[in-house]
Order: sequence, then structure tokens, then C-alpha cells
Amino acid sequence: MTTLAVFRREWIGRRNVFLLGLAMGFIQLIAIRFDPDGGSVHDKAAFMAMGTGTLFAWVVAALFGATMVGRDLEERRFSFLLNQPLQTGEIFAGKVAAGISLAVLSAILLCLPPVLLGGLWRQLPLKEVSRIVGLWLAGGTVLLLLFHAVSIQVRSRSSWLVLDLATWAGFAWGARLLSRRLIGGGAFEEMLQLWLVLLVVVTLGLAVAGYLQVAEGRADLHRSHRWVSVTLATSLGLALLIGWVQATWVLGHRPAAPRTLTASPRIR
Amino acid sequence: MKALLQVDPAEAAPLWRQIEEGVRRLVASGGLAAGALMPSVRDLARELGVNPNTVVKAYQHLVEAGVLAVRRGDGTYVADAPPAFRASERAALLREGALRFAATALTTGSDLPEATTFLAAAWKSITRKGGKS
Amino acid sequence: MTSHQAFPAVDCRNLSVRYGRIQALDQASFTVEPGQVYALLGRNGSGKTSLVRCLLGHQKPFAGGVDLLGQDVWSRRTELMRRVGVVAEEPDAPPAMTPRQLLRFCAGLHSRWDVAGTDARLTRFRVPLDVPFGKLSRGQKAQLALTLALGPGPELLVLDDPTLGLDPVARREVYDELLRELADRGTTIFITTHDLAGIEGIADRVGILHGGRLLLDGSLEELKARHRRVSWAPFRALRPEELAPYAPLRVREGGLGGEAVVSQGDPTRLLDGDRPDLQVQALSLEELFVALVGAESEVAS
Repeated sequence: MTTLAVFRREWIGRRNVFLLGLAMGFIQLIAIRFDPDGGSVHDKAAFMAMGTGTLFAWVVAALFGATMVGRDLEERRFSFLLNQPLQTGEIFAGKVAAGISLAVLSAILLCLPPVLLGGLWRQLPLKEVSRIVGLWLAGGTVLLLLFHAVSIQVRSRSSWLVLDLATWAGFAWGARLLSRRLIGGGAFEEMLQLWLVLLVVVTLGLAVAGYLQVAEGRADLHRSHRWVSVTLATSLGLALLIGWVQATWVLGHRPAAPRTLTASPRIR
Repeated sequence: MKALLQVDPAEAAPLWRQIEEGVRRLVASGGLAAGALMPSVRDLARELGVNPNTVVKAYQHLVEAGVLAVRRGDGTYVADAPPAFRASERAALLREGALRFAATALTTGSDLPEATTFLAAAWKSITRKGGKS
Repeated sequence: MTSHQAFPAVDCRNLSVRYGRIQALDQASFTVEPGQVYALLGRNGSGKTSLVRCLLGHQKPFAGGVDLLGQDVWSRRTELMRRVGVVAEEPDAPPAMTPRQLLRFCAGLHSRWDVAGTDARLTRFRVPLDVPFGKLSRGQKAQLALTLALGPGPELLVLDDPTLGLDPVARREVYDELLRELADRGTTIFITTHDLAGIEGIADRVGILHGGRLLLDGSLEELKARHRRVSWAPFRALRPEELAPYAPLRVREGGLGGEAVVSQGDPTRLLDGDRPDLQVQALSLEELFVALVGAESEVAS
């Protein structure tokens, strides 16, 4: 109930995003209609709407994440929510939900003109639509959480930023090492699985870090930064550990298949 | 009321005492007639820009001294027969006021007879306004 | 009335805040009893912002803690904010929301909301209801913030420099509203301010924060009784040993004579000597603040 109030409050401040999405949708529609190259309008509409839709949803989510608490903190506006009888969890959940729904709904608005007026709706399979919206949702969530964490780290302007960079570098190095191990073992599919696992664990870590920023950091940027950094470093480490366990298990239990693959004679 | 009663937070005397003395002076001079209704604590506090508790304290002292009387559920009134100042109080207040007046008279280069004339004239003008003989 | 009366409204214990090596607040302790008006005075950079943030549970102190209405504010912030009204230093409501939307938002978060009182305040303040908050005047923002803070009928009101940057009329209206609230409900008020003349008639207790330390904490009446200014004619300065028993804080000499602010004893005894040039006067809160904290330039807001 109170989460909903926070949610509504966030929307009121950014309702122009919806208008922007709709306006861009119409611009696209015009661009498609008056394209001199000809070709299938449907194909172009599908490509543009989905391409720009995805881009739009993700950019909106990223921008929202970068500003949802960070800008409030910098402008000393976050106190408004903290001075209300709102749980920190409600504040965080309300803001995240508002950001994701804003991103997805405005992207849908952006796609409506080409899809409806461009006639695309007649041949758009529902499964495809849900997959695209799912992509917007998932990608938007990750980006929103990521940019929230990063914006706190950057805005606090403390030397902890060096530690953050080191953490990310370490994570990238570890992930690359694990990927190469799996590739070296011929387990390509398992490497994709590994990336998915890393992504899920890191996203969960980002969500926890974002929540702890609000709950423990509150209006204190430095303390917020420390909580975000520690939580993030822990979850990145945990992700790598899980990845390492997975890689070791995969390589230990499936030696046969990759061996035969590498041992096969060259065709040419 | 505000025009008649002035308080200055910057003065040495606490605000409640300034209000108390101001009311006493008004009652003594007839600016507040016996039996007149006093403004409520809330109104007087806002008029003077002071904490209502300060007014409450001043009123309490005035009620204890018999200058004001509370009629339950009705309000605070000037007592029907407000007591005059005690001799020592009166002497202290007069001395203080006289010093101030004398200093003004001296700095303007006036002499005692002239100053006394002005004092008498002021006296007449106030008592006439107050409607007191 | 209720059980909370047993506790101080604000209990600040050895509050310390550090930023790296900088000590922003050093063991500040004070209490505000129910029904009191406590004014915290301090120049910019005195640690006031850190103190207010800790007091509202926006920031975790380095050491010490703050209880509001008998509960630790860091861990019980949500529950406490049902009973505490806050007016922030910077107008902090979302700029895109109109007063009407803000009222609905805040009223929705509280189980009690004084609709009649809120309407009366809005009428008195003449705040337009459908103009976005960001477009309101400074005075209207402050008045709306006060209206929102008073809506749930708080037991404690925390005001962080509510009259900062307001014109005299808006300032008067804010004080009027506070006096009304004091008279009607006896709400405890914690206020920080630069407007020393405005708060002088309202505050019961005063704290002066300087360089992260609480220099002074006491009843205003008692402080004013204790501090006096002694001034003298040119070339007739009092000797240090003459002033010493009265604990002078600040001695100044100028072309028109000199003065000292003394902080103990009864300096009128100095008049008993053959010194017709000596004067002993009371200090306004502003003069007292300047004497204690120094340079005049920063005092005026």
C-alpha cells in the first residue's frame, strides 16, 4: 500500500517519459512509411520497433537507476521520504518497481504506433511479444540496479572507488579465466550457463546492495557507498566461487565428450 | 492590546516579567479597566510573538498577585479591585522611570522646572485618555 | 497524558560524527523535555547539519545516539515518523508534485490526519493547490512543508531553519503558526535557526553549537540573566583583574570606549565604585551568540 504511494510519486515526476516514448513511436511510424527504399513495411516496422523499443527501455531503466536515489541524495531531497513513516524496504521497492514499469511501459508506448498503425499486429506472434517484453524487463532490472549502485559509488567521490574498480576488474579477470577453462575443456554450452549464473548472482547482489544502500546508508553518501561496495564485492566473489564450483564439476564429470571433440581428425 | 503592551526579548528582564509589569502598569493607569476581559493566552502570545507558556506564566503571577482573576470556563479578567503596587515595588519602578526621563532631559539641555512641566503635561494626557480621574 | 511523557522528547547522548579525519560533531549531549521549545544555534559548518541528520535517523552516528520520544531513532525511524513532524532546511518535496498531490501522499501514509486543521492552515497561508511544488515561492514552500508536518498532529516538531530565505511576512506567518500550535497542542519543538531575533521570544532552551561542540546548553532566561555587557568610556578600560571575577568572554576596545561580555556574577557591583561611565546591560540572544561564537558576519542569514 505505502509502496504504491512511493511508486506513484516516482511516476508523477517522470510522466514525460511516456510522452517521449509515444512521440518517438510516431516518428518511427513516419520514417517507415516514407522510406524511399521500399521493401516490406512489416519487416522494417518489426525491426525498428523492437530494436528501438529495447534500446529505449534499457536507457530509461539505466537513467532511472542512476538518478532514483543518487540525485535525491545530491539535491538533499531524499530526506522527504525518510521523514515519512515509510520502511526503507518500501522506499526501495517502490522506486525499483516504478523505474522498471516506467521503462517497459514507455517502450510499449513507443512500439504501439508502428505496431498498430503499421499493421504489424496482424502477424505478431504472442510468444514473440512476451519474449521481447521479458527481455526489456530482465535487461531493465539489471541495468537499473547496476546504475543505481554505480551512481552511488561515483557520487560519493571517495577513495573507495579504487576498490570498486579493482573489484570489477578482478571479477572480469576471474570470469574470463573460468570461461577459458570451460572453452578449453570444450564445454561451450556450460560456459553460457556459467555466464547466466554469474549474471543472476550479480543481479541478486546488486538488488541487495541497492536495498542496503537505502536501509543502512540512508542520507549518508559515504556510508551508502561503503555498504554498496562491500555487498557488491561479496556477491561478485560469491558469483565467481559458484562459477568455479560449476566449472570444476563440469570439467570433472564430463571429460569424455569434449575429449572426443578435440581428438577428432581435421576435415581439411 | 499590542499598542499598549510592548515587550522586547532583548531586554534584561524575562519576557514573562515584562508582560506582568506591562499589565500592572496598564491596570494602574486605567488602560485596562477593572473587570475588563483579558485577551486569551493564545491571542496575546501571537500578538506579542512570544511563547504561550510565557504568557501563561505572566498571567499566573498576575492572578496570584490579585491583579487578574480567572472565571472558570470563561476567561481571564482584570480583578474588580486590583491591588495597588506595593510601596517598595512602586518606588523601584518610579526610580527607574525617573532616571530614564532625567537622563533624556539632561542630554537635551533642559532644566528641572521645564522637565517637570513636561512630566505634568504627560501625566494629564495619559490620565485623560485612560478615563481615570 | 500518555506513556511517552515519561521520556524526554529528544535525548541526544554523546553524539559524535566523523568524516574521515574530520570530527564534525564531538560528543554533543542535550535533552528536550516534552512541551519545550529548544533552539539550536550554530554557524554554517558548526556540525548542525550532521546533528539534525542523526536526530532524524538519516545518518548513523560514529558514536553515541539519539532517542526521540523514548525510542532509538536509527532503528525505530519508521514508527517514530508517525509521531514526529519534520520541516527540512532545503524544501525537499518532489518538485513535480502539486500541493494537492503532496497532501494526498502524506495523508495516505498516516492513520490520523487533521483534515480541518490542514485546510485552515492552507487557507491562512494562501498556498495554491495546483501549482507544482518546484514553482512555488520560497515562503509558500516553507509554509506547505509546515502544513504537511503538522498534518498528522505530531508530538514532536523538528524544524531545520524553517525561516531561511523567507521575506518578513512569510516569516511572521510561520512563527504565528508555530505559536498557534504551541498554544493549542503544546507540541514539543526542536528548531535550528539563524533568525535569533525571531526565535528569542519563543525558545525556552537554547543550545549553541560551534566547531562540532555544544558550547552551551541552557534555559534562555537563565542564560540571559547570567550574561551581561559591561561598557566603559574611552581610556577608562577596566583592568583584567577587575573583570576577572565576572568571567569575561570577550573584551573589545574601540574609539568610543570598550566593552566586555561577562558570564558570571553580578557585574552591577562594578558600578558601586567611582565609575559613572560604566554601564551594565542585558544582551539580546544575537549579541550573546556573537560574543560566544565570534565574528558577526555569518550571523545574519
